[in-house]
Amino acid sequence: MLRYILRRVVQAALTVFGVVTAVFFLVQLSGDPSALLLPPDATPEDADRLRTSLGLDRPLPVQYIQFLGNALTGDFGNSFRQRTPALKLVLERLPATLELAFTAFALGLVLAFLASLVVRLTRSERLRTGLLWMAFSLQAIPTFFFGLLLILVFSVWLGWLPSLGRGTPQHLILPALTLATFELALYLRLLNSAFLQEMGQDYVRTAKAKGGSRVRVLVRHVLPNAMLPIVTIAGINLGVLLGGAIVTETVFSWPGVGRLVVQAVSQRDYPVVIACVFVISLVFVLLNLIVDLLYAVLDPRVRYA
Amino acid sequence: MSVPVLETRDLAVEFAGPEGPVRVVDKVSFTLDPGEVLGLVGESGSGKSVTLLAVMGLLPPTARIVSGEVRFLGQRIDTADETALQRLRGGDMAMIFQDPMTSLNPVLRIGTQIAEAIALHRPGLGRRAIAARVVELLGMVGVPDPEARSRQFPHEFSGGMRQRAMIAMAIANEPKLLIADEPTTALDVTIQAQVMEVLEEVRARTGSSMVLVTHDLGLVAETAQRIAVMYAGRIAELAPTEAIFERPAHPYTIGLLASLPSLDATGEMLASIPGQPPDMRQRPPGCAFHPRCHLGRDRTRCAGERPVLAALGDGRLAACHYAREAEAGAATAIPSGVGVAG
Repeated sequence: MLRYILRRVVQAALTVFGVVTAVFFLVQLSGDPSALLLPPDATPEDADRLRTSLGLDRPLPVQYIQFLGNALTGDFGNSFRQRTPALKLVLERLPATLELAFTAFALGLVLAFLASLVVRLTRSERLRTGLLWMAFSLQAIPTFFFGLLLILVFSVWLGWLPSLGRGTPQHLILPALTLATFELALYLRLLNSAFLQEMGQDYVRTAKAKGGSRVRVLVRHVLPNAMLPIVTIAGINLGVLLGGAIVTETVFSWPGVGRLVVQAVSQRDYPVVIACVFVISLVFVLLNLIVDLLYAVLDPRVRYA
Repeated sequence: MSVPVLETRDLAVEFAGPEGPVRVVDKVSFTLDPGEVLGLVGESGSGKSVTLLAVMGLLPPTARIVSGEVRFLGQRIDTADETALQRLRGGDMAMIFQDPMTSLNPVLRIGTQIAEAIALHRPGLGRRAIAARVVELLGMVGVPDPEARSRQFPHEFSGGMRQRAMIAMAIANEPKLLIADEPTTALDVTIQAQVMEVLEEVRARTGSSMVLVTHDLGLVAETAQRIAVMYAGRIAELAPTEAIFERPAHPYTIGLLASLPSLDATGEMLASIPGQPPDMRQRPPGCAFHPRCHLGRDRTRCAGERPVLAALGDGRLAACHYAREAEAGAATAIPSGVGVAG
């Protein structure tokens, strides 16, 4: 088990290294940062001076080697624009993203589980198809549109909730709801098929033959099995959320990593882009590792060596 | 005469189908006396399992009992509410299923699953007492090192060991009625005998009555006192075990016996019953077996009139218009050497 974890950590490090390297070269394709940093009437000499001061005049391989050396010490360079360390900028934004991601994730997952259990306990086919239709519809609505719709209703018309920014719990409600809706729809559909599949298994009949009540059979026997396929998807999905929900953060001006990465790309702020991608990919691979380990806990048939 | 442990009267079960309901069990009546073992024999789809799932109240949602009644120790249970059935299931009325590979919950420990069966019916019993009982039960069904094995998961058990665990679960509360639905079908031949031995041993110890469902005539011959042969959802013949083997009175039973491999005959082709069992959605009028029957194929009575299960004396019942004729011709149809072993 320990060897397995060690191997996975090495793999994770390699993955992050690969991603960061790819992004380092890819951002170069976006164009010359100095063009965006200087006023329109700046002379070519001004541009050259700026490039020298940013270290962009050296050959790319040299820049790369230097970047790697610094990155190993946690230094991703300073933001071109804000003149502060890029990694620090990203880490400052991380709590906002974590707050939004975990709230939306937990809300969507818990509601989906509760709704699925209610469907199973009431055995209402009408409720089941109703929820599935709702899930399909919600998944079909683009996030930005749904977010704007919420703003229109709850901020503009009703005036109940703030439409942008972060600070109070009220600020969290609309962006979290926007993201959670999509999560809810996804898990509703996944759980529906997982439950349908598990309900027909022989062990469910055995549990009934033992004299267990419907609630007991459902919670004690079906649920732990139905959860298994959800864990994998949920892990990947949480990774996506933690990488910053770019659209939602932009719509609600939520000061998270997602919005930072959009700004950094449009401003060709290379160090910030790379630092963002570094943090996002790190979160992603770690989460995947945790999911795989969790799998071994939930399903005794899975053993890692 | 004591009250039968189990009694079904004219039981009929229908499945919802795309072209209307399909009757898969029809007018099934039998009784099971205290301590008795009844063999329920028939090919796949003959309605054996559905009959017993109906008894347990475990029919799938698409099926329902449409007529008849089921009595357990004299009490109607087909009309009982779910709570009453839950008290019976796993308590006085337990079931062992066909496939031990899929019948145990893969994510729960063997001991936990057996403990659940105990705890559900003895709410006052403490954790330790339950754990001790689990170990005792596993030992009783011949699982070696029961204490350590009770902490293992189903995938760590072999097929035979899993079925032993299923048996332990079923007898946990010393049921008055044990229903074993093809308990050895999914197992290796060498393991089958061991598991049957364990099952018969614990059944005798708890004094349970048992319905043993199988398509293996040899298996019931050794265990059952009486045998009910099912065909196309109905009981074709019901008689004491010796009578079934020595004086079968239904052409289908005769066909089944004739198709058993005999010990004396070597190098001969095994006899088979011509044709296929009927499609339950389009059951032939009259006797369901008549298109395949050597006696009834050309008789208008068999094609038009459905035979009822009628007494032939000596506790023998057969659903055949020409049972006497079938019985008389049976001797020539069945090769010698087929019979009750031992």
